[in-house]
Amino acid sequence: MNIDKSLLSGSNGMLILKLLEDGDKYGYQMIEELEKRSDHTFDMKAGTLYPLLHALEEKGWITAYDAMAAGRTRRYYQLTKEGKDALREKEESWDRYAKAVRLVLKGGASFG
Amino acid sequence: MQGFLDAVSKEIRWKAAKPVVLRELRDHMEDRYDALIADGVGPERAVQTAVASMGDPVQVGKALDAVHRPKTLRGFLFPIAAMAAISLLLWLFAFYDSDDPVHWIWLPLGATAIGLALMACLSRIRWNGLLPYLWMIALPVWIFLMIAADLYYPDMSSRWTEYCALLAPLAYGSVVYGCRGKGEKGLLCSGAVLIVLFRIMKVFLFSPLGELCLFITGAAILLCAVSSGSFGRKRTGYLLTGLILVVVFVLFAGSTLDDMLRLKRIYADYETLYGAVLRHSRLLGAGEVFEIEEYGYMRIMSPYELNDVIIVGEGDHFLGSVIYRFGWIPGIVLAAAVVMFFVFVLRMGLRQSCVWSRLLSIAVVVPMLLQAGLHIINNCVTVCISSQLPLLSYGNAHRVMDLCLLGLLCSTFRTKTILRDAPIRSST
Repeated sequence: MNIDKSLLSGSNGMLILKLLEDGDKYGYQMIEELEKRSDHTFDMKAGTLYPLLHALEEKGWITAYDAMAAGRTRRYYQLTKEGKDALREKEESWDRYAKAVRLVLKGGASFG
Repeated sequence: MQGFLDAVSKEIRWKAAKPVVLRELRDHMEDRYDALIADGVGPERAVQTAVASMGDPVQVGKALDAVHRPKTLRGFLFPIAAMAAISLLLWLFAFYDSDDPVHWIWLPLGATAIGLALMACLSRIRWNGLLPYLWMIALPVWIFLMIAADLYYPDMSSRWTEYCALLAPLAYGSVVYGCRGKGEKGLLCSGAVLIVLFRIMKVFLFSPLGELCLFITGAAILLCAVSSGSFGRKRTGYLLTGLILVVVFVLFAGSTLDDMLRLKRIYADYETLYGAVLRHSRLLGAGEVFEIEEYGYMRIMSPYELNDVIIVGEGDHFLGSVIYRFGWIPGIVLAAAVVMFFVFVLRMGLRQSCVWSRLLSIAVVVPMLLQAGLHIINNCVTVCISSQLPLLSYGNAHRVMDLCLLGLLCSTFRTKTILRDAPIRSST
């Protein structure tokens, strides 16, 4: 199913932070994982991912280190404490937003 | 693939960022290519798909260019410039009518100018290529400087050797960094080098301050490296670090404390003098003129003769002089501003991604913070050890050295996420 990508804009950062909650990952791994977890709905371009990762690193929400794995140097990203706090906030505001959208789609909140 | 990378590269204006960013994109495309080949896709088709999965190179390049710009670091550079300016103004205020303007005016001005120029040069260093060979450069350079300074000034307590001693944490940080990824062996090797450095300090100079800086900064460097996972399991790392520090303390710290107590006895006269200076200081404004006996003679102390106060101890009593001349409030504000600046810089350094940035921040800032703390204790509580207020009190070579060290630190702050550690083997 094709979905409108503008629905996702602004929440990519939250998705990345969520992926890193389970452990350190490198870019390619994150795209694969995102695709798998979303049942092949989210196909994030690497060109979207890396500027986003670097921006999150600038904010101090994630940190990065190089490590050798399977004979290749990989850049692993790791969630920081600030990143965990930011993720929690983003999840809460996403829940509120999604709830509000669902209410509107169902015809609005009932009073009384 | 190269065509894609070239197109991205054209959009990134900051040259230092290009190799780091492009390497990551290339690795990603190679991963994708390998996965497609493993799925049975032909090489040509695999390349096309791998490149297509990256998106539009111009958009990617522009997005990366927006993220990667050299940092302006106003919060770091402005306080340094302000401290240098305050120091020079106070100096000119005290010595404008001196009989020896070359020594008291032109030399401090020249040292500040040289220091700032060297700081600007060193802030341009690109560490990425140097990181794998760091200790091979830093350790021999430090040993050479110690020997050269000692040969130039055979007097064991020469200021030059003392300044070189303040570079010991930097050399030590480079060794610890070189031992990353070598597990417990690396940590033990780092501990052995700390012992050797202490031994060298004991041979070449008599500086309890240098030894104190090396002990506290060395401990902080080791703990930071362990907490960054540089030596494998953190629990074992902390235990071994504790053991190393106990050994260093038992071997050397006893005599360091002894040296400090000896210095305290030597400074007993200064304590009387500066105790009186502080007692005659006001909350705001110039203190009272008073008379005191010094070496059997009566001496008149006046806040308006600032040079008389500053010269004694050559800058070790800078803060006391400021308090006596301008009052407790300006003195305390100045001291608090200096300490807060160094705490801010240390915090900034410890938040860097790159382990070397963190170790360098500790190696540069912790000794300055210690000196500042000891200077404040020395001036406001009790005369205990010869210590200057970094960037503010007298000492031309000292100022040049401090500005150079801050220049090195600035180079890591400017590049921030572009600065990347040499990789260590991982089981991930």
